[in-house]
Amino acid sequence: MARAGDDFSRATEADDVGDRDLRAQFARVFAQNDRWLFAYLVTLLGSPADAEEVFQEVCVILWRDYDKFDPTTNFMKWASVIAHHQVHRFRRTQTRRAKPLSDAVVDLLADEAVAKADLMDSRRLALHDCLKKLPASDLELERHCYSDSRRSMKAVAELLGRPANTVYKAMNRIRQSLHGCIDRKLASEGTV
Amino acid sequence: MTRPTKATSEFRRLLADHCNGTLEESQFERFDALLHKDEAARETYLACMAVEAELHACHASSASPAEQPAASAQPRSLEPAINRSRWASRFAIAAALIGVAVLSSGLTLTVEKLSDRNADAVATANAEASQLAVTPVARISATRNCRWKKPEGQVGFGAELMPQQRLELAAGVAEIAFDSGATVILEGPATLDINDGKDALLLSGRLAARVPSATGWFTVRAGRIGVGEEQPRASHAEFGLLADGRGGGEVHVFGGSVRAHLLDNAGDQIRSVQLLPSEAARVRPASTTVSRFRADGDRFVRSLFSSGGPHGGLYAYEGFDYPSGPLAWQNGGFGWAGPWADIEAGDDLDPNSMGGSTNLVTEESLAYGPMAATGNRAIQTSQRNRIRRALSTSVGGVFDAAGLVENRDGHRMLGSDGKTIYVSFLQRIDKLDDVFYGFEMHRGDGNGNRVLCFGNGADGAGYGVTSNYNAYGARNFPSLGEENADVNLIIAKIEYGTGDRDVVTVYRNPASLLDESRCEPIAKLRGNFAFDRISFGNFDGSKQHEVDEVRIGTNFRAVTGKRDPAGNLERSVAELQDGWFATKPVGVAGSSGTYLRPLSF
Repeated sequence: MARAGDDFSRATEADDVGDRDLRAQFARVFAQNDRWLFAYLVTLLGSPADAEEVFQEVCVILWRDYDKFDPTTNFMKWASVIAHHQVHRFRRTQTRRAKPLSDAVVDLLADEAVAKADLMDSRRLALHDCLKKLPASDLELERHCYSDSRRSMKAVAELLGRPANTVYKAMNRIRQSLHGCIDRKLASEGTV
Repeated sequence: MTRPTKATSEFRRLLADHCNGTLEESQFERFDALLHKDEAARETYLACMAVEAELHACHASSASPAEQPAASAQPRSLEPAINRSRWASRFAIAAALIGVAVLSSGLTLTVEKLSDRNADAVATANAEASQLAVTPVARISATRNCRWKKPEGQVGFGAELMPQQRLELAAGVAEIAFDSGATVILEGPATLDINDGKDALLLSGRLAARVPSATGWFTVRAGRIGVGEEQPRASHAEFGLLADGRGGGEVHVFGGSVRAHLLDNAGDQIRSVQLLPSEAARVRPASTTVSRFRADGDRFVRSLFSSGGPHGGLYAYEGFDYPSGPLAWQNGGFGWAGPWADIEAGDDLDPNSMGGSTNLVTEESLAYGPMAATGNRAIQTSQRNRIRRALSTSVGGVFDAAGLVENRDGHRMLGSDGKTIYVSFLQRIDKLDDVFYGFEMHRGDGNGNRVLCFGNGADGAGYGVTSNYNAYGARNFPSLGEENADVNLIIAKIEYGTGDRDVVTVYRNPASLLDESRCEPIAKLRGNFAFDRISFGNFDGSKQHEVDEVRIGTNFRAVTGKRDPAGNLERSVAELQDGWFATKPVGVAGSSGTYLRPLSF
């Protein structure tokens, strides 16, 4: 004869399995979108260093509330609402000097970044192939400029013993080259 | 659209300064104004920031070792996922520790300024990551001529598959049994990502999937077409899926109802279509439309179970691979002398009756763990029902050629002295202790000729095995244990002795489908058990009696459907079988033996 305790433990076990499934499912969706989420924050904040800070807070909230996420809905939309809110909270702590974008533009970009997630994703993916085509010297300079978001390009120039202007110009050229490569790659794949 | 429209050169100059960190405060207003009024500027900005973010992410992840945090704990089974995603940098700390470490891509890094709440979340996530790292979610349950792209990966028959594991099949066919109950047959060349026990991604190649109704939900994606629903399913489904490796895909439905989804590049659903049996849908790589056409079952390998004729000790098989409707006059399988014949077929007006018969075939096989099941199943929906089928015992027939037939004054039956015959079948009822039902073995029709009966109520013996050809009274018939409404696998081993001193040993839900020595008998009976036909009976009460996968052969594996490729015989049975069944024996009332109950699938 089954005992009440057995029923309880079976129910608890079933709950645990269900919860584990949900967490695993959430982890998978999260992993598929974490790069996009970071790009979303960089877009709204205009600064990778600020985006890193807000990204941490957003991750904590997303994982705290993972059980509120409906897996049948769009993760990007759900996460973007939380991230957008955190961006506004963060911006309220910033001085005017640190804010090149107005609240109105941030709100516009927030909507369009979700609507045009395809654009952001395909360019991010294409970037990796294009990086392989960069000359070694350009790749080295780029690595210096992007390996630490808290290090300014001026600081990189000092580190390399080069005039800052030459680093700015070189980086403009490298970016132009990368975006041109990405455009061509996407056009050749017929995704433009 | 993936290419930004043209922004003004003024905006591009400002954007370049913004990226270099040299945008002056005096330029903020202009920069903001252009973004506000010009959609092209915003699109250019979005494209640029996506690349800027990615550059920070991937360059930070390739920082020199000195810049990398010291702590690193990558679960071995997650390595492929980590390789696919290099998302690991200081700014990914939260993701890596709180979330990504669970399944995807994170390295375990040192934590700066994490609150206590964050630390708890980290501990939970890490504990879960270690648990998931050792928990398989699927198993390769059958193979045929398989060649894997990475043989060093030790993927093969019996291999356990972990979440996020990629299977790259260069040639051959492999059957993958997910712990959710779904079964996928992958046909090489193909690449399949096992996301978890309920979700897979076909990157290229083709597969056929069977999803029993008990599975709940199961989703599989091929290119930009996804199949399945993340909701409990109302019925089973069987479908084929093709992925061209460039984003295009096809889904062909063979049974049940399937919802196919058109996805965008990010995997989000754009629209969906409901497909019925014999319908198919196709999505081309660069198209946003779904074209419908007729399904082509011949393009898919749908089962690795060989049912083409007697083989490997299997002499008779019935999988009820018939359309829904009356079972009488159906004549498939092999090893039989003729079609099914109604002996009695419920004279009441049963609402489930189809064409007057209540000995029926209905959709979907009875699912039993890793046992191969094809076709549909038999069901008796009324309460005065018996249907039988005679075995091919004639001179020169399959049983005669194998020396299994004895001739008793012109009555040819299975039961040659010194021979052993195994009979297996799946059985289920929907109401317990509800008068009589049984899987019967007869020598001629009629209750008096019932050699063996597996079920309930015969001679008032309860759930057990009875016989009209033995020396026992009704009170001494052995029990089959506690009756339940689950699918039960019954295997009867009949050893024919001289002078009609035969012994039948019965296994119910045996611990192994490969190794008989690991199985505890639940019942044993002595008598005279030669027979020439089988039948199913269902009388009185209000239950439904279902039977599926009837096999008659001369060895244990022949009737469990688990004939093993020769190359795998060197592996131990325990290695192949452990994990599918619980190891805790379950006591059986009225029996000194024990049997192992299958885990839920």
